[in-house]
Amino acid sequence: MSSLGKGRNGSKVAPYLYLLPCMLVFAIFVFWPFIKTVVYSFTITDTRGNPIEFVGLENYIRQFKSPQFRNSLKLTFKFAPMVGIPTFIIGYILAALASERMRGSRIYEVMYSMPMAVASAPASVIWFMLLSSGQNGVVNWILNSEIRWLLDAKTALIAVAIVTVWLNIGANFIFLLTGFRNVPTELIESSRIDGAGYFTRLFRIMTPIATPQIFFVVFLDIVTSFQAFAQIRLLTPNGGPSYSTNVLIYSIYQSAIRDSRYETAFTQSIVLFLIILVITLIQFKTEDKVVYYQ
Amino acid sequence: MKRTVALLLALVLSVSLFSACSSSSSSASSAAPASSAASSSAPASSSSAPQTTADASAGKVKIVFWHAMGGRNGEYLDKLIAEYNASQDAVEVEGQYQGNYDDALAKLRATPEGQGPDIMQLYEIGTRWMIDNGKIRKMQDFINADNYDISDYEPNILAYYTLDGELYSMPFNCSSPVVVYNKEALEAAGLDPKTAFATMDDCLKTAEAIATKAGLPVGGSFTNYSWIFEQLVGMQEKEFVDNGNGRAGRATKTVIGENDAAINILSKWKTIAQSPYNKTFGKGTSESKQQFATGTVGFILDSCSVYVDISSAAGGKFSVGFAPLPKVNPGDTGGTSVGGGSLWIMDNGDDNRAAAAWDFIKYVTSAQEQAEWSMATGYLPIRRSALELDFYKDYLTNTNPELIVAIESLQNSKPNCAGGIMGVFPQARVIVENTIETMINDPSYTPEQAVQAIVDGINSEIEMYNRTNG
Amino acid sequence: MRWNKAKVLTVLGFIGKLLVGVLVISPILLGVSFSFMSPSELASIPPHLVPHEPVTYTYQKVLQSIPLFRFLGNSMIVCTIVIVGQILTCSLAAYAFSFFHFKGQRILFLAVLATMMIPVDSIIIANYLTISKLKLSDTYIALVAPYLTSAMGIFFMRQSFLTIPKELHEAATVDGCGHFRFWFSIVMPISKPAIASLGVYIFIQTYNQFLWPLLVTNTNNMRTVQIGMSILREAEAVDYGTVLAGAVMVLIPSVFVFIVGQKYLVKGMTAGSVKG
Repeated sequence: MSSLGKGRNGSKVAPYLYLLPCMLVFAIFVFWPFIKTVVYSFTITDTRGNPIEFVGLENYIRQFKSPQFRNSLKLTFKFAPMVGIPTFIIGYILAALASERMRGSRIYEVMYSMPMAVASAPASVIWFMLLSSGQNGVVNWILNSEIRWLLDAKTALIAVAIVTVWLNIGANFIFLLTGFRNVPTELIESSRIDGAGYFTRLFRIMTPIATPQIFFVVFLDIVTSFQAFAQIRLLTPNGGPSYSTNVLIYSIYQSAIRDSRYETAFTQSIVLFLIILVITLIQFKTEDKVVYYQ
Repeated sequence: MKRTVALLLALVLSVSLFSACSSSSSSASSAAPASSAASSSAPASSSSAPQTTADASAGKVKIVFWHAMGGRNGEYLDKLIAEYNASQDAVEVEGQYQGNYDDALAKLRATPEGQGPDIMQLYEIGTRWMIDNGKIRKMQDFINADNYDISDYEPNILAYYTLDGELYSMPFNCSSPVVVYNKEALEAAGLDPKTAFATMDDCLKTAEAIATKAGLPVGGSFTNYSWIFEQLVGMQEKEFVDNGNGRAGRATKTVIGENDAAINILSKWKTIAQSPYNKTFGKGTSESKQQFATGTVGFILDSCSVYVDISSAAGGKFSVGFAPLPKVNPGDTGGTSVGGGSLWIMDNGDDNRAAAAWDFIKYVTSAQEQAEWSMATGYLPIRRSALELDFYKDYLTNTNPELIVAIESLQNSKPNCAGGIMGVFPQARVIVENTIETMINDPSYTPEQAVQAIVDGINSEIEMYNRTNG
Repeated sequence: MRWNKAKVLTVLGFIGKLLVGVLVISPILLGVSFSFMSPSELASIPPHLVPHEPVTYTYQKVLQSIPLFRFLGNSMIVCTIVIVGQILTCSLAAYAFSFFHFKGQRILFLAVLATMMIPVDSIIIANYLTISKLKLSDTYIALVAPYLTSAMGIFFMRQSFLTIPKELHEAATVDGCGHFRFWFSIVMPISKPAIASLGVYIFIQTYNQFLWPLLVTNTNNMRTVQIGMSILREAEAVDYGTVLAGAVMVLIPSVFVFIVGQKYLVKGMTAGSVKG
């Protein structure tokens, strides 16, 4: 937490006033519906989402018994690192490449962060073409392969992960670059004078100083890779080939929006929420140890 | 408190409007056949939109129509609505596009009572849900009250939307399944379209001939679309679910396992899938359609409404032909049913708005309008007399001769092949397609396993549905 | 002009970095190129990277199919309101979290972060019900209300505020500067880089939305571009070049805003570099 000292002045109400606007929005549009989600996950709902019968843990038991749900769970744990890790590594490399300001550097800065400007719908439309199963697909042409990317149960998840990584590297790059650029120029100059090489500077000075941003980006990657959704829906509709891209977040969408099985959607939402919560809590346990605040 | 006031207001308003509407609705229905004359002035009416408030004060009943027609079809539907609004001055319909059927249905479910549409367009497989939950008014009640003659409506189309002798919703945009083939390729393979796709086995032979003799990279694509699977159950004249195919009462289970309908289809399908001449392009029809349009695929299975799109995408490089859907077994006696959508009259507790909705539905299902709708969209006209209109005959002979195949195969079908009704059909489709996909791609996955997976999957969905619709 | 080794290396490095950039944006470039192809050219083997027989009807067809400019205008209005709203609410909240110590601080902060972990689809229906009950369907208020704050924004602003040296606040306090003035005239200006990148991020997130705008709008007058994209996908499934043309047209504004935003972002970075 903040290392800023005690002895803050100002009234006791002040901090709450600063929080009021955001909390109001959260209360109406997040907390209240979420409380409903929790409560309704212990009920059976009609197809309009009204609870009609309290059933205790039945929904949870049914879900964990269902092979479909277990498949979704497995896919979720596979997909998140498949997306999160490459996204962070590529974003980090790009930010490191661009960390030094030089004439014309803006050109490639814009290029590296450009995928961020692309919404998942147009991105999916384009990647659908690039990942075409025939030999007219650019990816197959480059790899000289005949992989049926989006149509084969073995590759569909990888294909969707590739697209998701591409969509997310821009944001990773921007935030990490902000971190690297926060490093005071004096520090870099003095390390240059000391004769430190590029990698020494990157790992010993820039990376530690950018830890707040790195910490944030890791958090962001965890949350977004568990909740990546639009491109999955657009590239591999209805759960993908033989349900091979039916990750939890997609299954929730299907249950709530298409099947109107709200109690199923609610139960799955709680499970997904708990998964993300636990992982983030673990991450936050490490905050004080790894994050360096100036 | 506020609610009561609003209700009272609505009541007062509807009473005051009642006389205006009832007198004009009869004049509107008599004006319907002559509407083609008014239709030429339609473009002008669309610019009159800002006047609606003035119109409303003059006593028009305003109703809202939720539909799922985007793009070209949506554009034509807007035109149709404008024509209707211009043709009479008692009713003002506002068309609102709500995304595809799934999106529109999701939205309808979440909309509080009284704030939904007056007319709802929905896919055929939403029928049971609408009856159970939709707060709808039966179409049959309007037909009876109005003494409306529906003998001209194609019975094999009405059959789908008829449960226990009563019509629940009015078919509007109808399509039927066909084999869509590449004419030049079939010719080069030396085959006759009348026999080439007679049975599923014939389809495989045809795929082989097209690949080897006509040299197309893909002989054929037996499209993995659950609608086709359902139609193939009907081709065998077998039922999909119990309780009279879900029409005498709510279905409690699927019977395609015990009546062998599924295994007959899937064992042949497995053979087709294992052939190097057949290639399946994912689930549904969107990619197979695209691939076919490039001229590299001999045939696909799809809805007859794709003709215009595929022909124009083919850009004259080849011509598109239709053939009736294949039989599963050579001796099959069944036939095909319809897909597409129908119009529902929603119950918003207001007789005037319901009456206005009925008037609009009569208008858009007139022979004239259905013929024009068919020409604009590729859907089938639901009126028999539409087929006798000169301009439509011209269209069938000169522009879209293949549509006749679809019309005839529907006419040759039987009402008892209309297909099953259940509340979980959207889910069932996903189960069927995913299972068939696994069977196609996994050599060790047998048709028997596939049947079991489909039956179990659908039954557990039905069980949950019935539990929550006590 | 003498070329020493370091200079050559710098130039080579620059070219290398540009090439990496081209690789990163290659899907966009290919998308643009594909949008000028007919279905049969899109199917050519091996794939054409640039159109051999370019067509432009695809773009006309997009404009015939959907009222794209109306959708774009709506998206821009919604994005603007959401960006301004979020930057205000988020930076206020972030200020409370980083410059105050108060009861329940940690819990509240965790509650904020927890909102990011809630799967959106489960609460979107409930929110739609709220909007319908308030009779706000088909209004800009409905489109923006749930998004006037975000955990992401609060978290990011907090991370940025935490890098502000404590001495700065102490000095300000000594000078008699109250919290609100300190927030407004010191914290916000030196956080420009963070605000700029957050703004760009919010823009993309908001521009990207599909399900929510679809639920709360009823008429084309209020719809946003991603809905247009989906209409196009459903209506023009066979003519994929047209769908691609739609994708490109949807991309142009966001890429444009992004390039402009990037400029301010870099400017802000220079101005706001905090001396340690």
